[in-house]
Amino acid sequence: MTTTQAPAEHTRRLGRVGGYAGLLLVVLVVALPLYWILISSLKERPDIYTVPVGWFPDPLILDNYSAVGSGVAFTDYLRNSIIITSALTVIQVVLGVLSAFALAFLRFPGRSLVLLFVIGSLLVPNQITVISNYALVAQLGWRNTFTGIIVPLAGVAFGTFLMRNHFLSLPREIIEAAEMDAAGPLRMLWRVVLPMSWPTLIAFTLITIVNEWNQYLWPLLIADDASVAPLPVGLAQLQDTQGLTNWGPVLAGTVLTMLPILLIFLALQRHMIKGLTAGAVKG
Amino acid sequence: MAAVTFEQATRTFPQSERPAVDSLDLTIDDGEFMVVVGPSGCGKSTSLRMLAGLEPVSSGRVLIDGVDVTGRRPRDRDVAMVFQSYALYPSMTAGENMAFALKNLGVGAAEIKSRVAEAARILQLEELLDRKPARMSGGQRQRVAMGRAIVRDPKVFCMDEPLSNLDAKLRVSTRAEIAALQKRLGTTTVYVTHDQTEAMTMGDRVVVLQDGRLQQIGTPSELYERPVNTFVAGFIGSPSINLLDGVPVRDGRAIVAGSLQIPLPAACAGLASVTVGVRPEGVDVAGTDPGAGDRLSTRVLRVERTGAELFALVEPLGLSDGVTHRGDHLVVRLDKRLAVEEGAELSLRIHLGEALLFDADGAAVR
Repeated sequence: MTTTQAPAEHTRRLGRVGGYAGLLLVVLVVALPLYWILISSLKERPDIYTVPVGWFPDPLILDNYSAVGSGVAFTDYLRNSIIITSALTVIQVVLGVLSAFALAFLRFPGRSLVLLFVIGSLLVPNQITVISNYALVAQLGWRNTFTGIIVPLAGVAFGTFLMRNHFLSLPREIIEAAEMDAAGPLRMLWRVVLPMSWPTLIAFTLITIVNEWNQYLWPLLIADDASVAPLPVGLAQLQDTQGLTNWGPVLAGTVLTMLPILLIFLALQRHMIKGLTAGAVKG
Repeated sequence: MAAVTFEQATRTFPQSERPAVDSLDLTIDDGEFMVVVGPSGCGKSTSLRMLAGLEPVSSGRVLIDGVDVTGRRPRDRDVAMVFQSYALYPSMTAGENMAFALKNLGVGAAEIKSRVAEAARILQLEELLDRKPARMSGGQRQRVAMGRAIVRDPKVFCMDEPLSNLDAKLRVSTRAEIAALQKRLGTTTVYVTHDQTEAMTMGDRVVVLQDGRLQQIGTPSELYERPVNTFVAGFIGSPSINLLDGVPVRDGRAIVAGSLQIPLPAACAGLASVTVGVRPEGVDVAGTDPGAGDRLSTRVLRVERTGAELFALVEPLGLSDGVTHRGDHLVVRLDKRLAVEEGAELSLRIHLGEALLFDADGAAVR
């Protein structure tokens, strides 16, 4: 028995094939450089430059990874990155949640003005404030210290905005019920509001972690050596010492830098995607 | 327990010219079950929220137990609220939901446990105490919301359409349960609803609001038998009252039709025309005799049988000049044993003593 296909079904199938082709293209654009970094970090030095390109490292070696440590103080940079990222994440998440809570639920004079100010600060590119910040930090004697790197980066506007919009999307009656039930602001936040906000909060936290892990320009300006500089600065250092002739250790360092974030991402990505849409659609 | 007083309480929303609640004067006695009823947007929920402290009072005062609470926060008013959506905390179990307020108020753990257990027993929630709201039915959530209010043993219960999310059958049984519970606890209760059946069956007294203004306050039967205006007459009662406008007055009688002439009280002396209201049950099927000015001939448009009752939708015939009726038809309730046919003519006897009279502005005249 033969079946005839309805034209609508035909175009739908074509559309789906086109969609997948588009997806594949995007995946290639994103994944190919990453794959390139990974295989090159596992290749012997001459193999990296071979034409035609070898898509699989042969022989597969780990020498580049041990060379990372000898080129720069990799463990120092790693330690600094962890310190800077953890401190900034904690500060930003706490500040973001508290300020968003105040802007969403507390009634106080000038509330909309504060919100406008927060949104306004989102519109100012970081690069514009770099020079004045640098002058201030230098005056305070904070050059080449963690304080000097962390404090100017600790301001939070995006998170406040994201969390506030999410808080406003929560059912108002539940907040009112908590008010009637004599819950103070902090208890309301902790017992009522946050339990309904985990996905958005996780998304906000992940975005912050990634952002702070990748901080480059500001730490580069403030840090003089490996005592406080984070990994991205260390990588640039590595590139300066090796990169012109020896890309293997640079790429191995890049892989090592990506790895922790990748693991955190993989562990929490499901929540994060859910959280982002929840914040975007409802907010 | 406490009396509640609204004194000229007004709430005007920003960017709104007309107040949502306009100079409300209302006293709710200690232990009374007061139902606030009206169509959507009449200001009934806003009034309740003003009492609870969730809505600021633009002018006027709200007193609980003789104390002015107008500027107080909700938590300092000793008022518990049951919300339409129940507003349970999704991350807490039923037991935690009920205990939350007590914990916040610093009540001891043993006391909390016994109060929650008592509320759970009254509301038959014992099995559900460890369950979270997502795993409960609508009726169970509603009971937890009630439980959350009663564990606090507040001065006043505020209930904002607590039954409107339940299915019809559950609504009827829960209606009776809430009324019985309130009698038992004796806590002053303000209950907001748009459902006039709830208003009639639950309240000691009922307040009718329209456009933010108080129309009438009284017992359910007072509102039904002696509404102060056509709005209250039309709002209370289901099916609604039949209103005939522009009925001419001659020789102290309202001449609805040649065969239907309603004697008017002395108060109507100066009126040229009146509005006549006839409840659906205020009529009988008449015999063939000419009657005593209490007959109205009609044509049956439709017959609705609900099982227990029979409602005939009829078109009046032979009305006096200028008399109009609101809606497409009149509704009359008849004996379900009657064989009424659509399209047939039907002569009705109107119980003249039960007919309601209103002046041209809709205010009752007696």
